[in-house]
Amino acid sequence: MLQPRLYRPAVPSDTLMTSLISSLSSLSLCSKHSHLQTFLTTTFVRHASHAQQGRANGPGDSAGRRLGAKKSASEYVVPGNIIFKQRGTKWHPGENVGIGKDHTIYATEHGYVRYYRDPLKHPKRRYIGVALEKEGPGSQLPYPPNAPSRRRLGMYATPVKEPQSGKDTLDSSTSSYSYAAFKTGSTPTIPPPTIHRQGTYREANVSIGRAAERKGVKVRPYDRRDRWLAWRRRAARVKMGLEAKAARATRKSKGKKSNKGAKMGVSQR
Amino acid sequence: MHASSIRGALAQVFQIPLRPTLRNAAGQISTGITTTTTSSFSTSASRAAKKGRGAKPDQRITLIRYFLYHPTTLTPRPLRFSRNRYLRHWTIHRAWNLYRAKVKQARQLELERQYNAMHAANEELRVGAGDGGKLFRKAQMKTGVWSIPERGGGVPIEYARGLVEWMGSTGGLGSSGTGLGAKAKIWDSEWTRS
Amino acid sequence: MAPSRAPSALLLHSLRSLAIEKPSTALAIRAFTSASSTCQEVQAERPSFYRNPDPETVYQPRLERKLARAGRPPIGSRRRRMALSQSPRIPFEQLPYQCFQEARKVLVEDREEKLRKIETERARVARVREADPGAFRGGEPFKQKKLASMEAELERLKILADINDPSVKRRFEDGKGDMNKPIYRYLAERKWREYPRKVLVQRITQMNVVPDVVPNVDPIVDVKIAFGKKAVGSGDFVPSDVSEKPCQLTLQAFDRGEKMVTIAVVDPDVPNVETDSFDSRCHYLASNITISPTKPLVDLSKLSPGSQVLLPWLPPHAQKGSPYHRLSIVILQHKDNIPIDFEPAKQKVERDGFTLRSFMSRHLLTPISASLFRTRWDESTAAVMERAGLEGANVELKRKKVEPLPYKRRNPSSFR
Repeated sequence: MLQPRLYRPAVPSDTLMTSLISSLSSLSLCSKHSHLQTFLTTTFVRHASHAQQGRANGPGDSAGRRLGAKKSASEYVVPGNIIFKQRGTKWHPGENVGIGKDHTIYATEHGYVRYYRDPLKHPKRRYIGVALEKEGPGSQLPYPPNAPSRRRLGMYATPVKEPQSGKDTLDSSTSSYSYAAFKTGSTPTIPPPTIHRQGTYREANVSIGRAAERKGVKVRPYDRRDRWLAWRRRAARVKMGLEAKAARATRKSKGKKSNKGAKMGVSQR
Repeated sequence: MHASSIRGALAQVFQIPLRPTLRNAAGQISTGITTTTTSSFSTSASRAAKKGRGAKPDQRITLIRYFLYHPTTLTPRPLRFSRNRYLRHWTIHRAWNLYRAKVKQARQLELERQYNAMHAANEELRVGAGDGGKLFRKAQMKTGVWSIPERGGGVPIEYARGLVEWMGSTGGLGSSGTGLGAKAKIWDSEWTRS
Repeated sequence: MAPSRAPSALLLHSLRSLAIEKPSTALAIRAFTSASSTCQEVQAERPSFYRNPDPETVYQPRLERKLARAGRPPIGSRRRRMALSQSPRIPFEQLPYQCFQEARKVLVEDREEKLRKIETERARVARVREADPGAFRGGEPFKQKKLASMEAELERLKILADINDPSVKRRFEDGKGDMNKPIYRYLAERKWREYPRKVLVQRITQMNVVPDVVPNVDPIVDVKIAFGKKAVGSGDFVPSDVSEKPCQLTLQAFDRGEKMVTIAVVDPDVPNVETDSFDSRCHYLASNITISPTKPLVDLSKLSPGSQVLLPWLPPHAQKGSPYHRLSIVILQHKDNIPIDFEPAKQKVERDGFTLRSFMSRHLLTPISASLFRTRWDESTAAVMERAGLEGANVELKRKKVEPLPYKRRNPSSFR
């Protein structure tokens, strides 16, 4: 390392020494040392720059946030009912409840609210749960250790509805991929045209939107991983953009020649 | 290529624009021009300061700083070995660990042996001496163990010092000057050849 | 080539006979002397390299093609093969690096010491085994306890003797470890406990297999599930057409000896609309299966129906709209590895409403591992159910609407 003597602010005799020292002092190390000496003599004065009024010390008193228990113990709740509002997790979610992004505890099953501790899960946490039964052995929370959890199905059985319409559209879309199938007459009927106020006929927007379906045009679904397809699409888009630009350029040049100044004036006004 | 890229990447980090450089100084010397471009309070060229972007610092300084301070040079390179090389490394590592464990165990055993021997001797003194344990009780008294030898003490107080790897300039014998520390000076800084 | 082949075989032999020092030193001398007559002779006897190329060192394209045609494709890249053919191919133990050789000396010495300890320990175990139980104060149980602890110590010494051997490490990393040996079992268990076991425990606890199916389990056996060639991670969703055929399990045990186990595949999520809760159903149950560290593979479809399979495989299925079903696979060890009586057990066991807890207590079984996969309704479920002759494919489950609480109008006078 460099000797500390070299960058002590001594007065050298010849110019060679000055230049050497100045170049060496360009190292930040040296500059640090020289700064140290200057700072030693500084005295600090406290000025009255701290604001005392207004909102300088933070908002003083805001309205209450309406936190706290919304449902008390053994109260009946349905799914979605908010049981507790809190800042942070004063209470943790236990059985059959969920926790929101602001730590609001809500029920996910209908049942009866329980406030409890579960030392086997966590020695210090307090939990909120929903017991499925009001009284009896299953109404206690937490469940005894190593016991199977009690669950509710909450569903009813119905015969499966055959997805008739959905299947048909699927079938038609697959079959109408070939032109022959389209020809044989699996085409959906064209909806009747709407009549305008003026008394003119116009095809309804719904029907325009389904024109491709009637026609049997099948678009290949876009696959993000298919980079070859993506490249072709992009190339086509770039080409279209270039063409459009060229067309605009020609139009612009024509417009310039005719009367650009007048147009500008109009637009400004 | 590598060095230049390092320079390029780090030039901004370690750059101090407002100071004359070695190269500038050398140029001044070689041409013999002694124009005083420096003000009385600053060593930097005022023109360079005015211009805002003066001459760049010497690349050697940048590199010195890079190799001294930059974290990439301070962090050791990760070990990337071929399989055989790694296995050899692992073998050596295991052997070294084994050796150290054995040394440690031997030391521990020796200490245990010493302790047990001392314990047995004390027990013999307490029970087998036949004086009802008087000699044992006398032996256990610690008065006058630590003292100055001239005053008739047993062990000099200096021996109660903790053992250290490195000693201070006086060998831990008080302040230097005229006292005991002066004699014990372990490094004579003022010594010169002639 | 010849000089490398011979020492490696010898080394293998030396490892097996638990004596590493003598042959390796002898070989080291031979490898470093230039006038090694035996190697020369061996090479002279062999046919020309061009006639009989080695797939590990061949790098000429013509010879490669020749080998490929002969059905022995060259090993590794051509670059690697070229490097190998041009390297002196000194065996790993004899590589001339001073520090390495010194380290090997230390390790070999330690190993010999460990071998001596093993010998003495073995002698002590034999002496205790021969001794009369009356000689001990605690009698026979004390003797058994002492023997068990001495055996454990012996195992520990065997592991310690081999753990510093780089060739053991290399063989284990290559997956060529012999699970009969304590060192490889130890290494495999360490690797399993490092990460895969943690994942398994997380899955079976987070998906509640542990309190719902078995009360408690501390896995000591690695369970891998595969349907055909398709490996399934624990807790994965398996399409129902894939899981139509029974799965293959790899039950890797890490302690010595054979284990007599029962394998149960239980679905605790069968919806029951009448009671508005879930039932349990057994999809597969087989007992008296022997596994060992060297024979971990159990194909559920190949167990004997006459003496092992209590309940044959029922394809996992979930009705449309029902929440996912956990197909939990539980491995239960028999008490003292005694097989259970097959016929009475088969008569007693029932598929629907099967509870594993009562089965365990009836046959004195302890869970040693558990895993699971999941299933839900998909396009193939209806066909799978039809083929298995199951009803209920035409029934869909829908959520019951829970009546919201009546709106209670608060007292407006208390409002500001």
